[in-house]
Amino acid sequence: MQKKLIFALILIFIPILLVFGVLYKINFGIVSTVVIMLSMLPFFMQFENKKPKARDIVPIAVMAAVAVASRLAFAFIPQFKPIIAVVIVTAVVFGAESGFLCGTVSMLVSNFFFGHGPYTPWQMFFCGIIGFMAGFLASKGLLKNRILLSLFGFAAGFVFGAAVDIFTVIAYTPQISVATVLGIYIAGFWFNVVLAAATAFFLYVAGIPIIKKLKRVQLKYGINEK
Amino acid sequence: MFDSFHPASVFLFITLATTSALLFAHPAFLIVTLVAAMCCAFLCKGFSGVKFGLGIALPAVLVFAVVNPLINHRGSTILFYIKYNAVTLESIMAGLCSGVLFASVMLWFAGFSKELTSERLLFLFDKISPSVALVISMSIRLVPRLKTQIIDISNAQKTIGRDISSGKLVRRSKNGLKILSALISWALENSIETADSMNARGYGKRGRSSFHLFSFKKRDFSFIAVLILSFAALLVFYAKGFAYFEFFPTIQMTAVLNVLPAVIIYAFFCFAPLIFNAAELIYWKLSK
Repeated sequence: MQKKLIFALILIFIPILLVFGVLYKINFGIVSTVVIMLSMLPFFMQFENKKPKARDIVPIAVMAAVAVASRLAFAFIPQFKPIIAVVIVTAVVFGAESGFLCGTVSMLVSNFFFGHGPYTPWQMFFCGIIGFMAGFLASKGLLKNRILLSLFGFAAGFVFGAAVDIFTVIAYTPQISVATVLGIYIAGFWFNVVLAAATAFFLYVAGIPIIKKLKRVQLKYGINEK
Repeated sequence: MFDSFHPASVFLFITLATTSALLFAHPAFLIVTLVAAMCCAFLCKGFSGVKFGLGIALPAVLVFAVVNPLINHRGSTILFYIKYNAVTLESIMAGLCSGVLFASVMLWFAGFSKELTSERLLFLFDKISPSVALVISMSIRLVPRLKTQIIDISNAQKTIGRDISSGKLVRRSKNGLKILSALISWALENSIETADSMNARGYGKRGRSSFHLFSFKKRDFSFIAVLILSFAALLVFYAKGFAYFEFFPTIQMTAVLNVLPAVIIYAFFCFAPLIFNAAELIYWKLSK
């Protein structure tokens, strides 16, 4: 009951906030960050409500930590971060909800080591959504072969970069115009392409074997059993 | 700088400081934020904070100030033309203000990164969702352990010719993937042991609490009161349009003299942690 009430409050509060922000010309960076933080709450509460067992929690924490530490194995290529690929692989095996959690946690933890910013909630949310979508698509039987997997990875990596760049545009530029949006996207284009390519490469070469490996561990120890 | 504050006070200050930096577009406010953020970065991180400011934040200001006039040709005061494209005073000013804003938010966070410790964030997260907080704290603890494991695995792989430190890029990346694959097996098998150990110690049983050393002191109460009161006063000024600033077509703003009271309150707000620490220091010196 309490859960439904909070859901309803969030659903009412977000449009009010948006309208208020537009009417009073409040910096849209602030409004949208608050909206994003609020939209993460239902996911966390859903996880909390399931009263997860230790065996459900630990693999997510481990995979989030692997996602953060994974860039060390590729330290010889600058900007090569397989973090999103590891989140996608986790989501495919452990499901949409675990994928969301793995995505948000890995971004948050990563920022503890590489520096927080106002973009932290944005990264958390969008990486979480990527995990959620990967889990959802996998449950529908898609993402089965390496080509679909790496295509999804490329799109996810690029959209992630572009989505987080939105914050830079709407928070720091006084008047949002096509020119400023294009300017920021051109400035960040190569970073986003490298991120997308890293994700796609990882999933193409190692995606299916690692998924098999995770499924074996899941079966062996009965993780996330219904 | 925030060492002895409660996580709630730290978090409130961080939120309000960044929010206010983005909210008040008037240049007088921007300058106050920039100076306060620089002081914060210096006090929290010492000279590495200053180096960060000069090395990254200042170039960012310049990039914004140079790039904006090149892509944005609005504004009525035309300074000169580059290939038939007008470069206007207004768009240079707009770029400069964006740059200063960007730099000050970066500097705030450069300072905060030392103060927004995982313990503090977890303490707050624990109130929203204890399970998620647990996942985060386990993950934070695992990262350094996995890093040493990656080094161990890559040293072992090197002995059988799978080197990531030299060779062709594709080959090195494939070896990198092999290392990750080994890491995942190792970490997951270990994680099950951790999970069983947690169960054995009564995870999920009722009435268990987590350890922390935070206490909400009188000082936190007055700090939060000061923050909220000054921010509320600033919002009143904001609603009255005192932070009004428009770049296009011509620069329009409230006169600096009119904004002065709001700016003074804002400065007090931005330097509140500093003032509290100074007061503490003086009190300590006098009482000795």
